[in-house]
Amino acid sequence: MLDGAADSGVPDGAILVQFTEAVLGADDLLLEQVRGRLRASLGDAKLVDAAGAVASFNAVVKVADGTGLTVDDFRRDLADKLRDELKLGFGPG
Amino acid sequence: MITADIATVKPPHIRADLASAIERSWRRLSGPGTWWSGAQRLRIVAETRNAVHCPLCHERKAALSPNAVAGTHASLGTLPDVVVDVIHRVRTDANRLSEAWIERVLAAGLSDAEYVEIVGIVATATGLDTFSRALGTAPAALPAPRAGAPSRRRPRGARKSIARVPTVSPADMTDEDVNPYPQYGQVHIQQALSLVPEAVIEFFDLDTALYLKQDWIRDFTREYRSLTHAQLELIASRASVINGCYY
Repeated sequence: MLDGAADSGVPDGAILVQFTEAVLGADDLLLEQVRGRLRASLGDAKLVDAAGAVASFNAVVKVADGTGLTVDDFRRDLADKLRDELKLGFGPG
Repeated sequence: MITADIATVKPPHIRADLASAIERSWRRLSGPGTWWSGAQRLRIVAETRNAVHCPLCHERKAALSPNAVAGTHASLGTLPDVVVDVIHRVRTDANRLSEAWIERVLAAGLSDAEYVEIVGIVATATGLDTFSRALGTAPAALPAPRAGAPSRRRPRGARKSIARVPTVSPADMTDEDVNPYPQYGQVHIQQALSLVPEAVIEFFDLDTALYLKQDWIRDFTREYRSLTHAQLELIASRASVINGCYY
């Protein structure tokens, strides 16, 4: 997810990532183009749900960062487990 | 900015539950909260919109540290400077807020509960306006403020534990408190604004309509939206990376 151009393997992932980046970017013309392509290829219902998800995650970050929230234990445990499974540890060896 | 979409393209139909949540959000934002009046809350919304055009915020965002750039925010001039600073920082550079900065804000005269309510308003307004931008529709006109006094009720069980501001754990909620947890869930993100329980309801009533209810997020036995869990999480992940969200 660090590189938005990478293939996620998720169906229609490329256009959804492009849409997310355009909504959160500053190029209005690009957003208009990407929105038009998403709408034409996926339809109105998916455009609305994609818009909702981007809006949600552009808003909830203000709650977490604004309050200086700590991460839940269960989230930390899941992240640790995933790092282990993917062998992303940064320790020696 | 008005785009060609607004002028020429018919906006998509918004599902009924989301349209209703948006209406409720505006009604709540325009009415008295716990610590701010309806008129004040709408001024906070207006300043939230204004913050994205602030040259100082742009300069700080581009700097290695926001503290390296001094200056004055380009504000609408309707709120005290300390409130403007909170709104602009939370709206434009939230992932670089520090404990020391919050302490300075509180030392400048803002109470912790007033601060938390502002954070909730900024987050809700950001959600509403981001949704409009995403669909290519104009931001909603601000409604008229509704009369009434803030309730000024602080939960007795509030204490500092999981955040830089006091929160109320589910176990510390009393019968006198408005309890948002049964409806919206009780992981840390739902506790974050709980010093002002109405702010939790205000934010998550909209957020769960934009995205998913808490108990739907990990229910992989069915899909609740037209996009699949995987598609929604892809969007969520990309947006979170762009915003530098650690949570």
